[in-house]
Amino acid sequence: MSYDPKTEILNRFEGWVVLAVARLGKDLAYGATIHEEVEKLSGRRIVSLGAIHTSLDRLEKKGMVSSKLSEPIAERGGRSKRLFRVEAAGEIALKNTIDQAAAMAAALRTARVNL
Amino acid sequence: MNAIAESLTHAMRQLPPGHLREIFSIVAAVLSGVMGLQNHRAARRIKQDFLAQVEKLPADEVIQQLVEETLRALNNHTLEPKRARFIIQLLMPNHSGDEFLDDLGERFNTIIKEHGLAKARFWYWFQVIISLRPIVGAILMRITGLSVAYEAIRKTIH
Repeated sequence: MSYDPKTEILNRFEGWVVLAVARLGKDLAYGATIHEEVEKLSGRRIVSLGAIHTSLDRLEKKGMVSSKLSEPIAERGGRSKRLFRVEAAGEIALKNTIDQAAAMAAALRTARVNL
Repeated sequence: MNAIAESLTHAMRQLPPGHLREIFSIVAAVLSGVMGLQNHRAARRIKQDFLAQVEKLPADEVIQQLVEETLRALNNHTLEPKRARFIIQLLMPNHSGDEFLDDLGERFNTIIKEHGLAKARFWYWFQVIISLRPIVGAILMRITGLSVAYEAIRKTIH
């Protein structure tokens, strides 16, 4: 499956995940912190950590985020953290998604409905 | 286990302080693995053996800090709900399962400090249950090849 990053749009949850990774930065973005950040940003009290992990796997396969393992950490029983960072394709897709939402908001302002 | 703990602590004494963190990481990983497989009584005995060995280490500030970090990790590991961990290990036997459990464990430790063990255990079980749908969904999509079809449909609709 080939992806054209210029036209790629993220779904709502993927959007929150990419935004959280971008906000945390390359040395702080790993599963637990991304989960916490998505909870804060989206205002949802219940966010599934499994959904975060599967979204990150999917985004990595699409080349929107990349990951590397950190040094082993004693608090995690000597295992490493998988640190994520947003790639150029992810930035473009996030921008496309935000532009689309902005276009919808603009269209809504001119529509004859009261929401 | 005593022999393993003795040889590890012997190795710790021989190494310069710069390498101690790596050694402690290895010790924690070995003991965490053993504790994941054994029952509570066995886990307690291993921890006691490890503590007895650690007490013989020189009273250096760095060493003390590493000992505390490692033991805190070991203590919390045994508090995580074993059946919930088992479900995840069953569904995600690869490295992504380990990463998922590590992330769960890290937030579990934070919740213990803030809200206590009961709430942390409830949160842990709750997270495992609500994570089943995306995890099983991803497995099914991968096995059946539906992920390719899903993406093709999504692109067409957009």
